[in-house]
Amino acid sequence: MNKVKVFIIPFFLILIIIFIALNLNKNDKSKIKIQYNEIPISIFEIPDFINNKTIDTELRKNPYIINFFASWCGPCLAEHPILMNLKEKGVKIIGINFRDDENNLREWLKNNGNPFEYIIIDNGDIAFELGLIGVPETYFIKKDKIFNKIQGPLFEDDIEKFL
Amino acid sequence: MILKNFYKILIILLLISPVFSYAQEQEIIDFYKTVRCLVCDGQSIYDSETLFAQNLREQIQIKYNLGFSKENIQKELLKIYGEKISFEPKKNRIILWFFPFVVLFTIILLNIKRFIRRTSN
Repeated sequence: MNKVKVFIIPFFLILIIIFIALNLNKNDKSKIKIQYNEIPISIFEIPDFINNKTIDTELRKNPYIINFFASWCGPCLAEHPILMNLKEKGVKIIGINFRDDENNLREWLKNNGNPFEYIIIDNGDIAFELGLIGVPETYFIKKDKIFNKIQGPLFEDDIEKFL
Repeated sequence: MILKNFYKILIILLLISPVFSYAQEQEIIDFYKTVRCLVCDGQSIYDSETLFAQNLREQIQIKYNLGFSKENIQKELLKIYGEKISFEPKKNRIILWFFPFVVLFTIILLNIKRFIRRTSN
């Protein structure tokens, strides 16, 4: 009888632990979702890099895109033709230039074209508030709410989903 | 006389100021070590040299200098990046940390009972 107690009680305790651990993991799985943060107001207050104008309220009425990019970033160049295509289709893109050199940025835009309606220079504050992981990163926005976000370069499929 | 005392106090303050700044620096380093770098494997933002870690360190430093408490900065980080940003275990996981000890304690307790019974027989 003693032997039974010695083995069975710990056995049941271990079973309870496994049960709790599995349930905790289940909760975690349901909690895994992309973090959608609010758009920092500073985006609408900082003047554009080229025209020195702040973002027009008209632009915010329709769906638009926020794209983090930098002239030193290779994948940004890879997704650049897709952004140029979107511009041709009339999609408004706000470019946020992340920790870049202004001269390099000018050169980069001159060489590759400018798909952005507005370009905002960011030294890291906006990136922090939006929860940026790395560049490029693209946010799809409707009524000033982020409804999708893509980490890494854009592909045609992503755009089809958005449009 | 007052001026002499003033200079004395000033010198003392100047001498002990590095101690305070060192303590503050150490405090922020300890905080960096609790923040996970999301683009590196198992590294904190203190250990990593990626742009993500660099930017986060800078932003935390700015907030710290503005007078935000560690708790406030941590809350903001959790709000922005979610639970994955912190190396500290969740509160509901504490039960899992203690359960092995509970099992061990139960086994020991049962064995002691058995030992006492045997010796008394």
